[in-house]
Amino acid sequence: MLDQINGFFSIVEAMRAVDTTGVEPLPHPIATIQEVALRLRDDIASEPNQREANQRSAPAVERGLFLVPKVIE
Amino acid sequence: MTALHDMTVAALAAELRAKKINATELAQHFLARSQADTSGAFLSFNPEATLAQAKEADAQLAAGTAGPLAGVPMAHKDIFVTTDFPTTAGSKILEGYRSPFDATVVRKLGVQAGGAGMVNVGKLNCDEFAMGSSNENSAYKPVTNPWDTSRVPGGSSGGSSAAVAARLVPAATGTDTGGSIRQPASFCGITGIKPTYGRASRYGMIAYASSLDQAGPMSRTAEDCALMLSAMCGPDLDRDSTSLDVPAENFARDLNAPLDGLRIGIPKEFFGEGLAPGVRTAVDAALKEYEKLGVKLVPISLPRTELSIPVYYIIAPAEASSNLSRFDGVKFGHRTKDYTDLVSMYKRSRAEGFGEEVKRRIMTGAYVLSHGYYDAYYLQAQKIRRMISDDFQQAFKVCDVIAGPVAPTVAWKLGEKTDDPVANYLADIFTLPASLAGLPGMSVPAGFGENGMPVGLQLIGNYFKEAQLLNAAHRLQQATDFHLRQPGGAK
Repeated sequence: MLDQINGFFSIVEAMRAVDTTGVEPLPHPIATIQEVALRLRDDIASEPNQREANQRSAPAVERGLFLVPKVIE
Repeated sequence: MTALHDMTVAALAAELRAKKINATELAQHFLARSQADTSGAFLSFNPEATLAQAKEADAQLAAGTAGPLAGVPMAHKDIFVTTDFPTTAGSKILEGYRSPFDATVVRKLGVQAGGAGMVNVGKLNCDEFAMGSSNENSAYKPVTNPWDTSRVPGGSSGGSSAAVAARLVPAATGTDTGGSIRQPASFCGITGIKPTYGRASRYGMIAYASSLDQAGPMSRTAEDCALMLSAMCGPDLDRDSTSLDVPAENFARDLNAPLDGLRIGIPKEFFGEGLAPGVRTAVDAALKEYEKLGVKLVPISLPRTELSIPVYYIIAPAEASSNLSRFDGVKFGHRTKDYTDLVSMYKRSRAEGFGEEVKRRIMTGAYVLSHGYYDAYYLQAQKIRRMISDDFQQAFKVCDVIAGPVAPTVAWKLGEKTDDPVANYLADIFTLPASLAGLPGMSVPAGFGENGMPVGLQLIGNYFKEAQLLNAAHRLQQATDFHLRQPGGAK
């Protein structure tokens, strides 16, 4: 696995050599052509309570709570 | 009469509306074909749920409340969460997982009120968490290509492309992060489109690289893709923070528009040394066909095409390492049986649940995001990402659509590249640039190359120009019959 990851970083070298002085990073592709603002929604409950459905795929549940190994003695 | 499985989505929808067939018999027909399949394309079925959806579609058709594609069977890539079927993302870490909700795309295509009315036949195999280009990274089983069962179907949407090519279902969903709709469509001789980033909601689409992931349809014709894409897109502002506030469109509106005067840009970087001669011949022939249709071919340059490989393979793993941190064995998914405390439970659950390629990408991603390396790798990649996107905008000043090969070669043999992940990454060179720029792109059957395997022509449009791409694809399909050819294995 280490050889494969090192193999990958050898192709990354070409990227590090590129002069990017003054270039802004592009986090959202549409920002190439227009401003993309982060959106906030109203802080109201939009989903019904479905504890049972949400816990159906949990590895360990007891009395409606997710079980994990003891963390604090 | 044409066999049901040889009919397109458009034809089936028309027959259903004319009451010549009903959704239940269609569901039974495609379910039987899909369940008899030996290619590995499907990961799960739930015949009871499929037939219940068909019954609902029949009721809607009878009541006159049916959506535009009511009763037409399809199948979802196992990246979309579904309440009626298990969802695994091709990973052991999600074995047996049942989602408490449906993905927005599943809801929009399905029989729920306001949906297009399509009936889900089952869940389709894919590379684990959509990481791969041959479907060999599925934790469950590989998929064989119906044109030659010793070859891969492409990936990551390999189950989708194989199932549509073998006529197990008339259409399927796929997801495209770095080419995962276009490349398997090309390898299996079908049609697939990835829309502009932000058009289709990512809600309920298990996240790999959030700034790149997009859903799209895969089917045999451009017309079918247009019909499904129209149903899949639209704002989902409260549920997907990257969803664009751009109204849904009828992408089929311009399918028949003439192409006279359309300028197709040919990037010289897509036709270099690495391109297989058979692929080049097929792509050149398709471009000639376009000239006959009145298109003007314009030479262009996308100078940073090669750089898109390291840029993509920095950004996508970085986002993946963050997205996949949610798989910790606490609230859902695999939990190891062998642990001593909470931390050992996390570590062992993840070590047991994830496959090799996923681990490689998580480690690479965590490394390039770490203190001291962030600027040199992740931020540098995001800056070059902007330069690559700007290159496209330069090109679109002199052309309307960009065309070239989808991949440098036809589908390779199973096992040929499994020990060499970098060889797999390099094969993504022609699909990565449009992914990084968030542009719509598609693959259209353009003939056959080495060993008689299918070759796809890639069409890339500017932002929000999906209708134009589908128009160009549809006109090519009216002039050629490659999309109608059937693999020998599909009977």
